[in-house]
Amino acid sequence: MIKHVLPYVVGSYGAAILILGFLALTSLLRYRAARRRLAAVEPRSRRSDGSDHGRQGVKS
Amino acid sequence: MPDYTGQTVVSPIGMPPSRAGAWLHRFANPGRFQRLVQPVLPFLAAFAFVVTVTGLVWGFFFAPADWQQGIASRIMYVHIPAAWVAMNGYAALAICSLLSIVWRHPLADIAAKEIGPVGAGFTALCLISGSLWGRPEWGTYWVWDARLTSVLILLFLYLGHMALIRAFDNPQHGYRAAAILGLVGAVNLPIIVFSVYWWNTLHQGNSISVTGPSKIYITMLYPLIISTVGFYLAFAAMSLGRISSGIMENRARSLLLAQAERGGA
Repeated sequence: MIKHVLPYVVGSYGAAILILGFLALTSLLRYRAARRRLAAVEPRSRRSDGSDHGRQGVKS
Repeated sequence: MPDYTGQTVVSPIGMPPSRAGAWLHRFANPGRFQRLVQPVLPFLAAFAFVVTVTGLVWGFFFAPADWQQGIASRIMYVHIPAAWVAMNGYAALAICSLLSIVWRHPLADIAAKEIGPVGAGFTALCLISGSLWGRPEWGTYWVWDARLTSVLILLFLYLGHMALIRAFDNPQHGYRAAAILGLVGAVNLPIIVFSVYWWNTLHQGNSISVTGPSKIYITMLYPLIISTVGFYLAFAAMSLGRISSGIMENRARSLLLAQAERGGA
């Protein structure tokens, strides 16, 4: 039986913070980059963020 | 007709389309999805952060230690919510795969693609926290126990799905192949749940039942519930944010392709 358990508890909470923080940060950065990129390509997306593309098809 | 992905939209299988199929297509319209999700997303993310932090702080600092396991039981507030989100995340991925195969809806493909990395993260967290819990309680970080092995297979299924969906030059081929893997892999979910009853495992049986009374005392159950709700909200916020990002990226790509075609014509 291991007496000093606290490092394992801290380690599991640390892993939670690291993994969830990494996922949240990458999701946020990607979201902001996608918004900026779409706004650069399609100026009207500044208002709607691409939400109108369900109604307006891309003409090719 | 090219859609927002720049690909030709494939009609749903079966003509005429069923009422359910038409309803799903109307509801899962990417434009409607963006209009619904984007205003809600900042609030959902903030709420998920507050609830998750509350659950973890309560579990770490204020929840009572178990009379047998001592403070090692506090790993429960990370391990159990991560395990539930990992399994239900894969269930969501499998549902998206089904929608993709049956109705071939592009939003289901994007959702499956974006749920994969988030679910894999929660599965990895479940395995890491479980190993850190196993060392003081079982004397080892890992045993080839049915529950642990089936959750490891779940992680491999997530990783395989992530790799397969990005493995083809034509994204549609990747979506089809990954959807089949996503559906077939769903057979692992009941194996994970019932593994502790079907085999003799070192891993303990379920302590919480939806239908029966809980085996966890109420002062430990409350922070567990809050932590679980926080993890689910975090999963939802990250998945929805990534799906929204995927839609915007595809939209920008299709616009650039259309501009390039016009410029080249």
